[in-house]
Amino acid sequence: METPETPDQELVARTQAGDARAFDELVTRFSPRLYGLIYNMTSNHEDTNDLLQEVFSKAYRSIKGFQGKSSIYTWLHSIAVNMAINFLKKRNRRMTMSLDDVDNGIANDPDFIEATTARDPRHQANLGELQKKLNEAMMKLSDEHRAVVTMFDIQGMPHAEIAKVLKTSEGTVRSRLFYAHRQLQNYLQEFITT
Amino acid sequence: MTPEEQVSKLLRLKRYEMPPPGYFEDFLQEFQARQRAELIRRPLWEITWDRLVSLAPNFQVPRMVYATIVAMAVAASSLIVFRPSAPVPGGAIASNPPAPLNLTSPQSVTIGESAPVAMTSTGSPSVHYVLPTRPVSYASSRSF
Amino acid sequence: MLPPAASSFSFRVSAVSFAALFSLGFCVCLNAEESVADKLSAQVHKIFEERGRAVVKVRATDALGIRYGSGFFSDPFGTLYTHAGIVLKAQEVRVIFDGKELPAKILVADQRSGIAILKVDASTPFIPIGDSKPVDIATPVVLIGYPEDLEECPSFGFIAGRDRKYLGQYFSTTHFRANLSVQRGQGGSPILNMKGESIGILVGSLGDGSACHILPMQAAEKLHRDLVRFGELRPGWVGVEVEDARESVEGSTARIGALDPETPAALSGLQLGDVLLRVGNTPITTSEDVLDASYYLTAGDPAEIQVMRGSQKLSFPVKPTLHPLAPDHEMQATSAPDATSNIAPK
Repeated sequence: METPETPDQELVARTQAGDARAFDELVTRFSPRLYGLIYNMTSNHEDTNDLLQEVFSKAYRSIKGFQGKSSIYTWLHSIAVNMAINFLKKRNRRMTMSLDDVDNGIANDPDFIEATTARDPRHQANLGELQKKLNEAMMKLSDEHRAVVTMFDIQGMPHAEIAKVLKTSEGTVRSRLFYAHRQLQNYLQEFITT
Repeated sequence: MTPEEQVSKLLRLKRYEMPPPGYFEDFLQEFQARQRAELIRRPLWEITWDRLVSLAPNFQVPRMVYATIVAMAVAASSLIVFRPSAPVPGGAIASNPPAPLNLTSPQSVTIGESAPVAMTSTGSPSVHYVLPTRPVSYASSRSF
Repeated sequence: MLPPAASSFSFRVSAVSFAALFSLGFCVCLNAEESVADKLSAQVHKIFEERGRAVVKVRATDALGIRYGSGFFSDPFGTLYTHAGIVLKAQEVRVIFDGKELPAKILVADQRSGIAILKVDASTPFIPIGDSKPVDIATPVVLIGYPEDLEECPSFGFIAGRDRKYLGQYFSTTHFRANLSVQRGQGGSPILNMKGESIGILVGSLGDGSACHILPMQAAEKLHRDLVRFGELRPGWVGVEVEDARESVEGSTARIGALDPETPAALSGLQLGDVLLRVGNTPITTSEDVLDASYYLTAGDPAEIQVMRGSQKLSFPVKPTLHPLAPDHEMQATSAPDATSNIAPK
């Protein structure tokens, strides 16, 4: 039998009243999920640790203004996603552009795909290799696309929740997911049976 | 299984990519240490500004408007306080904000060729006695 | 009928005899109770005296400072178990026991089980490994460890149950839970049965430290076996996803919901809808049972998977491949200095 936990709202109210230990409990409760979110966007443990510290610092500084219009879960996810995307944009300015940034359709050109991926329908992939390729493919997506894939596919958040986190419409979330999945399938051609 | 479903399955495996055991306990300790350090380092005006902004109603008004309003309020208060024709007994010169606290920030020390060991403000290495509050865990497991 | 004086006398005699008998009986009982308590105390004391020498204090230095925990030797050659969280980021690890302090090499630090195996270059006392299978609710257990900066000491309690998850998060395998007082610094301590054999390793405290979670010794030994056989961990993976059916078939509700493509499971002959009865040595009755089945699979070691398909009982030999997250589960044993460099003279 599981011990009942203090509801999130109560922890938030206590934090707003000045109870720092209530905020510590929120950190304990949400850090695993937020770690997963940020790590899958940055693929780097050190950066994730630093960003996660920043997320909670910011949350603590601004929690008095949190009015409970969304859940604390959505609010924290919003801060985390935005911080991760801002961080990645700064980091990526120093790196070459990903395929997604090139807006001339070449990534979806069938001939381009044919030329750059080896097709082998009987390829017996070690699953570890598959995961490695998947991680590489994830990093080829744009930061915004990686964010929706992380939230939907890895964290299992519903479309409506993701829309609230990103402050956008469900339609936008669905179309970003559709595009991102198609990109991933292209990058993983050799490992997927069709 | 469609290609889309196959990709989804692979993505779900990434759920297991978690940091090492004890990480989240350390994380909380690190966070608490940062909070204390931040409180000491941040200028008073910045802390006050953050508090004011977070308390302000959420009318989607640009932050610059708040800055303007606060500046006007400060100006108006100064006018009221410093009116030359009405000297305030006991002196009304606004004192400078108190000097920031000057605790020694953590020093890093190298030991041979290894990476720096974190020190507390008293100069001794920080010590942790390990016993996690829960064993290593995963979000779910219905696959093998 | 006796004369009044005589009856009063015999009454007094009976009363005195009765009181004497009662007191004697009471003293006997009291002594009997004391001797049960004494026996228990003597047994715990004996275990502590005999096994305490094999329990060590582990000190690891890393970028965050110094970490202390506990550990214990499992053989006379210096192999010891401790908690992975103590040594995972360590630049240097030292082990303190029997008045000596020695450098230790990290053989493996496994993120999945939370256990690390270290080695010191010395002959060592050790705790024999007991069978964790008969351990059950109310089995009495003794912990020996180093709380905080205090000296080594014993703690006594009872096994309270077996858990697969806590506060909604699943473990890597079934853990024991014990009502046993634990303190910080005791992560990695051995848990012993009343014969003084190790049946588990302390890996987590509950609440205020009045209860704890214990990794069974058989789960820790799985790591050691892989290390001896392969020099590295080889967690196995077959590629089956399991769901719970509404009705049980031959006592099991665990049904194959998906077979990941191009995996040993997909190529074995197993089909969607097959109801799992056994995976290797692990009997399956619900989908949660695959947690343990998964933990004990070894890449390259064939495992027999028994299923019900309709009314037929079928068996499929499957050769697991390496778990997809295996490289992330281990730390390579390179960071600790060579154990032969500065051994204390004997």
